[in-house]
Amino acid sequence: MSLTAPRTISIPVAGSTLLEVDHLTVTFPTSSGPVEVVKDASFRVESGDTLGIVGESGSGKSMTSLAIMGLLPRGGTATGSIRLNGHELLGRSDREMRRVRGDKVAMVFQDPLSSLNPYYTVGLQIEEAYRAHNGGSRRDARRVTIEALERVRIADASRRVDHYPHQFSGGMRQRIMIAMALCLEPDLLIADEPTTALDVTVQAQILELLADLQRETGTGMIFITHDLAVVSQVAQDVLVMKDGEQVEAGTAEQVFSNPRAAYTRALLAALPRIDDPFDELKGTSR
Amino acid sequence: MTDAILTARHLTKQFTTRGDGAFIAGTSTFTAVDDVSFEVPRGRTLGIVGESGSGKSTTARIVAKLIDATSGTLEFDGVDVTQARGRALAAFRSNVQVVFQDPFSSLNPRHTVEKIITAPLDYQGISPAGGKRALVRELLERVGLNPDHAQRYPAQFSGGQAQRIGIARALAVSPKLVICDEAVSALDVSVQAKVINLLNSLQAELGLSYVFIAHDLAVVRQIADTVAVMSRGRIVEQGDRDAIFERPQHDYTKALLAAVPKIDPEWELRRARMLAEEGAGA
Repeated sequence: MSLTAPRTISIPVAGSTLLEVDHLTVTFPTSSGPVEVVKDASFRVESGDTLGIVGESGSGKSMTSLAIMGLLPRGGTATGSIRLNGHELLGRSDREMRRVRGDKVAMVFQDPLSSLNPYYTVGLQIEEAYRAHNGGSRRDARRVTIEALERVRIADASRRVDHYPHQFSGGMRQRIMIAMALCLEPDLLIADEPTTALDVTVQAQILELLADLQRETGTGMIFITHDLAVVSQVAQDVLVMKDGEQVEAGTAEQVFSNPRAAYTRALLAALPRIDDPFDELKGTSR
Repeated sequence: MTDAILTARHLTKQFTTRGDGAFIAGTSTFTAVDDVSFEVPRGRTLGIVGESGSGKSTTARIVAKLIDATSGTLEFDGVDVTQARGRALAAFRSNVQVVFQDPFSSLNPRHTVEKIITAPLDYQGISPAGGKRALVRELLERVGLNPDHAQRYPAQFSGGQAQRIGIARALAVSPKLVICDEAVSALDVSVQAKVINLLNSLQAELGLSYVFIAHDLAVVRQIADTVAVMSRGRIVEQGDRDAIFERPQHDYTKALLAAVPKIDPEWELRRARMLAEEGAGA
């Protein structure tokens, strides 16, 4: 990821820059005038790499991803430039953005239960998503769906495909959401706090799964999280956001071993560590 | 045996569930907490960690006497409170307070901070020596809030500040034991660190004992003296904090610790050196 002068050359080359975001600003109108929730953000995502966007609540990290997906809440406007494989996404119609979503960019959210319809089997929901984008027969869609469930390591996929969301655990549901995203073969996967609602042992499994799948498919990924330790493990490049501003950007190694921004340093200092208890916090009580 | 403020012996909690009308017939019994025993050393912190469904929150609710255990005993400050009702229960409640996970849903949005903080006093029928207003000011100051904000409403505070109000309310009746049920889980990391520091300094000043329930092992390591690890309703391992974190014996504890994401220690070391050099150069 380069944060130097934005380039306008847009010839897609395999293994090159997948997503280029330049001077992205997201504005919402309020009764006391417009509020910028993302201010002048610029970053790159390379094919096969993961960009981690980390920040606390209200930092603008989720609004950044929604702007890329063309899914900003009503009233929100994005300015600047978002180019995917060299093609500008900002200013496209809803109809065009619907094609981009799924075909080119897919998203996995924090809460898999609210993203799945409880009245339909998981198989039917994945098949619908697949056929909406790729057409083809029911039979083909079912085959692709079972394959996708197998790829996300759901045991006995040909039987489980006919089960309903409530028959799966939280971790399994997140695997189903990942399967749904992946069967569309997106160039870019945006994962917004995908493991935040999960237990720590399940989180470890999902992070491992995402890394394996990325190796297999070469999909570029934006991983949004509040958790610095998680981002340090999954991302090659890291963007730190605060109050809509991009306060630090660099490789994960740079950001974690040599942070420049005072905010990044403070955030790292505040992170509770499992291997290094802050005994001094206990003061004289010990 | 150490001096324990609270002793739980063989606590078990069973819930009876009715059939769902479609797949499951009749009733079945689910054991949420299964033969759990532990002590909270006086003036110290017992951390209870576990994943969802481990029974840690049910244990917290039994210890706070918000629900009764199916069997087992609970002793507080040398008195058996298992069957406490009426006056004995009121006395228990003035000694044991709870801080909940979500500060906003546990604070009445229509009440001022003063009214929220003094609610436990009203419940107990206590009128503080220097008057309520003075006590509220003192408590707000103690938890790091502006004492002039006593007439404000919860919505006018941030999440971290709202959690401080919850802590001030817990302290109003001068309890001996505070049960923190995921008390910092909903907070941003920088706010979380401040609330942990606050809890630790309050313990040092007031000699409070804590039961600190959390799913986040790193947070528990920052605050607990002794740790109990729960899984599927049972305590699989308990002991001194450093022993649990550095020399876990049980396979579940080992798996849990291994799953916690960590920043590359090499990066951490390099950052620490860099900050030290900059500090020396400044």
